[in-house]
Amino acid sequence: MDPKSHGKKSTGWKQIYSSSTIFVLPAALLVLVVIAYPFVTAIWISFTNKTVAGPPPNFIGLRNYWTCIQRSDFWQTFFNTMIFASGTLLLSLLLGLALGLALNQVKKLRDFIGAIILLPWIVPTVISTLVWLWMFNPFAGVLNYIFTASGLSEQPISWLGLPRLAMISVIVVSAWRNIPYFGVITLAGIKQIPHQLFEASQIDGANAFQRFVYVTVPALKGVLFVYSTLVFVQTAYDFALIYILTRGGPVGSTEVLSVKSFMTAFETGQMGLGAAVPLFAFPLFAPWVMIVTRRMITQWAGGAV
Amino acid sequence: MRKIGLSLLVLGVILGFGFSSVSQAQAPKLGIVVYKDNPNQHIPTTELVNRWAKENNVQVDITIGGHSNRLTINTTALEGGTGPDILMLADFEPNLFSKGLLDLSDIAEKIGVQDGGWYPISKEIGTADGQWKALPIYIYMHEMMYRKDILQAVGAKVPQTWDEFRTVLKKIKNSKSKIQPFGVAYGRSFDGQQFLISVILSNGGQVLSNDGKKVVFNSPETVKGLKYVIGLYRDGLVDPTVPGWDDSTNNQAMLSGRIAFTFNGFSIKMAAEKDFPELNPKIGAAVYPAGPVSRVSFPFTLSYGIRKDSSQSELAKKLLAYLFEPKNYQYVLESTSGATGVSLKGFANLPFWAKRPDWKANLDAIPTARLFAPPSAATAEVNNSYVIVDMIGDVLVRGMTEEKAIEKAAKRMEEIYFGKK
Repeated sequence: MDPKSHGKKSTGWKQIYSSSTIFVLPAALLVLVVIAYPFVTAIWISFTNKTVAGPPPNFIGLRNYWTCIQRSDFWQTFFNTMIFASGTLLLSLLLGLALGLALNQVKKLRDFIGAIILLPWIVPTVISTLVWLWMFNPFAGVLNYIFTASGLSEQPISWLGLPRLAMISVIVVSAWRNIPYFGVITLAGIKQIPHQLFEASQIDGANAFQRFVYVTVPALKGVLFVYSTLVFVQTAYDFALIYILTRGGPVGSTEVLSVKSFMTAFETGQMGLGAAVPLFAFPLFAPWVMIVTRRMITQWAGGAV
Repeated sequence: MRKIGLSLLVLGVILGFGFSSVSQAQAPKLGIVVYKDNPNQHIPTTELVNRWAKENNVQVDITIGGHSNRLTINTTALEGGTGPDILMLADFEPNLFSKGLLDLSDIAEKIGVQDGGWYPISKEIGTADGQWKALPIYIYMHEMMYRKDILQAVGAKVPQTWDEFRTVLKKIKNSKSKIQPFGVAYGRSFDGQQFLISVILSNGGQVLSNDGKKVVFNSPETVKGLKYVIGLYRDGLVDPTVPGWDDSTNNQAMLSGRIAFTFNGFSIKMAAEKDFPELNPKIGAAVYPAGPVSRVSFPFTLSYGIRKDSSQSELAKKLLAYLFEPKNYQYVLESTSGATGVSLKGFANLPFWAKRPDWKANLDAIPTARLFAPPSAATAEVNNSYVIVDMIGDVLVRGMTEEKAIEKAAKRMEEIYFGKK
């Protein structure tokens, strides 16, 4: 259908425009109430000295952000967040890609296997994280049982008690949740690639690795970029996983912005400062997310995902 | 006919709303948070609240709040002005949220007179700016939990001082027993924090100067306390995995027979009594050992507070007064064998304490209860940000000296208390 052919009758366009507005309105209102209002409120609170049940807050400009910068533990929290999100993304991306490629080779029961693999992503974070907490238990956990019984370690390992190991452990749990997501996205992406491309490259003598590098990866680049961004931002603000596993410890080595924000706002009652903590990363993420959103809209408008 | 039917329906709906609003007007609504951290702990209080509601024709909405959700329930209620009228506040929260809480001085004074007087720790926790902002109900003391049979096997008595404690641990280590001498979280946890703070305070360490104008945490006394705790680990007297423990791990370790000593509230004994009948008689409880300066146990406290903006504040006060009536307070206390601890002196001589000597440690420990600094929003932040217990990690996993870790913690405290860089 050529839209230009309708352009001759302006009333038709108006009708389409007004009816589309009506259809979009409920969703737009929902977004305003559920996303925009809390977000704008959080920004406003971050510019005030609001405390829980305290006197009416005063506007204090950027003082909360300045306090963040000046506090000795804030930068550690910020870098922890970046390491946690980057580590999760990298591990999820690599293993998710491998999983997607493996799934593509499966001929029988692919849907069933795909559904089973998606379970970690479907199970509520709190439940799956509690299971991991038991697995990490220093003396009763299955991980230490395997390590000590197989002779890999003489002593039980303190998975969540040593800074680097604790960070690796939380990244592994976070990636474990995201790998199936990337796997399924990869599989869906591969299915979109025209089969002729693979056949042509095969005729040209490309081996499996070359086909992966020169056909699969370029075709998946767009979709993986979009989902990588979403996973990175989502992980950077993940709260439940870290709070349950380590509460930000040991010695703040896994304390991320969301945990710091909760502890500041709820456990010490400083709502203004607590709101400023996660918003600190907002200027970093916002342009990236805007680019991705634009790209997604362009792709969808073009008919590709 | 259809019109008549429709009219009757509309009339019925209107009348229904009318009756419903009349009945709602007859029974005022009141919300309360009842605490539950151990199985069935909430039942006696719930029974009392329901009985009071029935006797007074009040519609009471009970919210069960535990360790994990209590704070969010409180914050939402205080900020939103809705939800429970009576909140359950932990530790320094009566001070932290004092501006949003009702002045309860009138009933606090009456309850004090009626129930034999508040313990000093109760008054310290419950008051802010000279007013009673909360009524402490539970003073969970932190106790030394130990294996009686192991002590007997190594020919040791229950340690009374920290030096004796170390000696007993060495005896256990040198014995043929495979049990780890001691274990408590050496990281972010309430238990670990309570243990370390108690040791530091009993060595004479302080967070603030007596006039509250200076952070004096960086002192030889604090160094001595921290070195003692680190020394236990370095000497192999502590389970090697403790840096990765949380608040539940020492319970598991004690109940699975992995460790001979830990520091905890009575939850271990409660679980042992319920699920480990063979082990239970072997687990003893005693007051914390004494340090060179004093005997200190940093407690975990819970207090009832009423939202300042509650539309049912008088009714809420009546309910609290009812819960603190001697027979009701005693009922709740006895149903946990005293595990929840007492906030008022009048309950120190109840017959049940004598019947269950192990559980009496909770009462005996009350005089040793001490906070590390006067309650305030800043003190709450020091406590909740794990500033003190993080020192252990700084030394053991970051390789700092004890002095450097204390210097770092003191700097953080100055930021929190006085906003210094």
